[in-house]
Amino acid sequence: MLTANSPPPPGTWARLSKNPVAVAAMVILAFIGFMAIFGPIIFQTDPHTTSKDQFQPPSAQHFFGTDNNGRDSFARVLEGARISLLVGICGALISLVIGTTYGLVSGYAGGRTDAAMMRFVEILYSIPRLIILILFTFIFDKHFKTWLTAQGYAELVGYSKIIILIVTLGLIEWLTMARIVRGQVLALKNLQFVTAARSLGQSHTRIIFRHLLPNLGGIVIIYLTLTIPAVILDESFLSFLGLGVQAPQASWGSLLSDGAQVINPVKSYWWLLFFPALVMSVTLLALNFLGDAIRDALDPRARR
Amino acid sequence: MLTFILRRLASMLVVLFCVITLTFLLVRIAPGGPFTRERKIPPAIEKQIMARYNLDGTLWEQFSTYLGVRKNSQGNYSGLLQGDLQLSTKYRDRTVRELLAQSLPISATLGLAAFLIATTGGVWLGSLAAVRHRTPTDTGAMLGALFLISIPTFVVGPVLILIFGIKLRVLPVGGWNSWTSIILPAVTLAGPYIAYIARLMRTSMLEVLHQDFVRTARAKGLSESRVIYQHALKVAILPVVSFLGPLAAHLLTGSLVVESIFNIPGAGPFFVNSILNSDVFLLEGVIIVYCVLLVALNLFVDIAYTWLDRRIKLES
Repeated sequence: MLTANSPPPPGTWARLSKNPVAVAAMVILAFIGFMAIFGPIIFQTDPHTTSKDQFQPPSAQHFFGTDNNGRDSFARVLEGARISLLVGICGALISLVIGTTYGLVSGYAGGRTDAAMMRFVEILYSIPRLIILILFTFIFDKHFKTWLTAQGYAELVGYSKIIILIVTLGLIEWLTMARIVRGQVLALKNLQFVTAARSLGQSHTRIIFRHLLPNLGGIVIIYLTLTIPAVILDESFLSFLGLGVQAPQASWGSLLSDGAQVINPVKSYWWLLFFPALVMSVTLLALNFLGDAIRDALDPRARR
Repeated sequence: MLTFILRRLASMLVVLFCVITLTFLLVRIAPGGPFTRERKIPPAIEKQIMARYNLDGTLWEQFSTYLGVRKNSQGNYSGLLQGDLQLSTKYRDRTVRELLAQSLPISATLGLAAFLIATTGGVWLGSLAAVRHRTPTDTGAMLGALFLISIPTFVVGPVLILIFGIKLRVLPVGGWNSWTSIILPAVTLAGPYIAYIARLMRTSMLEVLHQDFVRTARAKGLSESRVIYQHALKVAILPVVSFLGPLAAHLLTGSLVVESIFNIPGAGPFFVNSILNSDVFLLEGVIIVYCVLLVALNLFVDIAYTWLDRRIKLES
């Protein structure tokens, strides 16, 4: 296997841009990101305005129909995109920092430290993290709200749940990253350039940050792309259970939860389930496809 | 092997103790007590209720009572060590053990069904893709796997209900009445993990198919299906075996959502409701029982893996 013992092989970008799947995924993600940021401004919609038009099917006025409070579903999906993507990206970045640091230290230290640190990861893998996460978010949300008010950040109180979600999701999703980074460091640290650096008398910190970290770029980008959808899924899972984002704010998970509730044999308001599901699934698919494509592009020989 | 098992057992006890302590602390610092209501209860009565549920006293006293190393308000030892999970504070006069004894078997059946579907489906699909490497079957299987990973269970569930329950009317839309009501939830729960396992299996099978012992088996003139399903599969399945522990954890948490979609009276709803109701003992009970189950399962998987791995090392 071609390990990343050199910077990403030249032509990575060229290979990636020749892969039609990767290009399609990037275009879709750019479009969804653009709509999440500028959509509400362009279409002048408001996700919280209620009206008498309840359960209207999709029309030219309401692209995605309206919900039980007569709110425009399109605007709700856009707001959901903002929150879900924000949580996904920030949560993944936090997990990236923790996972990379942990993996680097574990792999570089080696021996008993490494064994103990990896055993700890295995243990964490085996406890139902989401359950502990739910407990965490529930407990610290109220304390955090009081703290925010006491500190004079009253305007942030509405976002406290989102902030807590981002931090705790980041705190639980780093395990795979740590494992992958450790494996890579183990492969790298016996290579000659590290031996050379050590024989020059460079400090461990310098070797870690100047020599090892830059060589982890490729693998870290791959798993960042794959962690974002995982975090988005976790968040929507909590919101679906009613333990995540608080109404009237919406994330894709809470929209889907609302949509699933109005599916019944008598009358189904399919658009309330269909559109959030479509947008969310397309986003997750695009991210997963992109992650796979980057892996192929960085490591042509691993492609099978 | 025996020292290995004993070592793992010891570490399992440490993990369990940590989980129990952590759960206990987290639940106790949660905002809102189990008897906090809109209407204020007279302090004297509240004091009595708290004493009845062993919720008075210092944190340490409560903890040791809960563990069962200290006498409770009835003057006997009755805690985790004695297998007592205390009373639910929401469902009056019912013990947490009763509630879990009713609901847990249902969750476990659902989990087991999903587990069987995920492992057999995933191993089969992954091997098929590897054997037909670079054919449309391979591409199709891997595309399908990506779709399964990307579409969340709470989308798949309602869609399946819509198709099979409401439009075609061949399967029940929910509940837990006949054996047919297990099909949709189990498939929904297993979906993403079929895909994970298929991807794991394909990668490892592709590696194994290039190894010498497979060539030897072919050279001996064994039929292709025997080469693959008897020789290669035995080795290629190892990464899947090491994924079984995390898989069990994922299925347990995943079943929270699936049970709520399909209205299944499992342990999942207790979990969510006990958080919202501050039902401290039920919440602690559910988490601790889940963790005990998982840690035990992981020990089992660990032992199985080491045994399989050793056998392979000895053989080759």
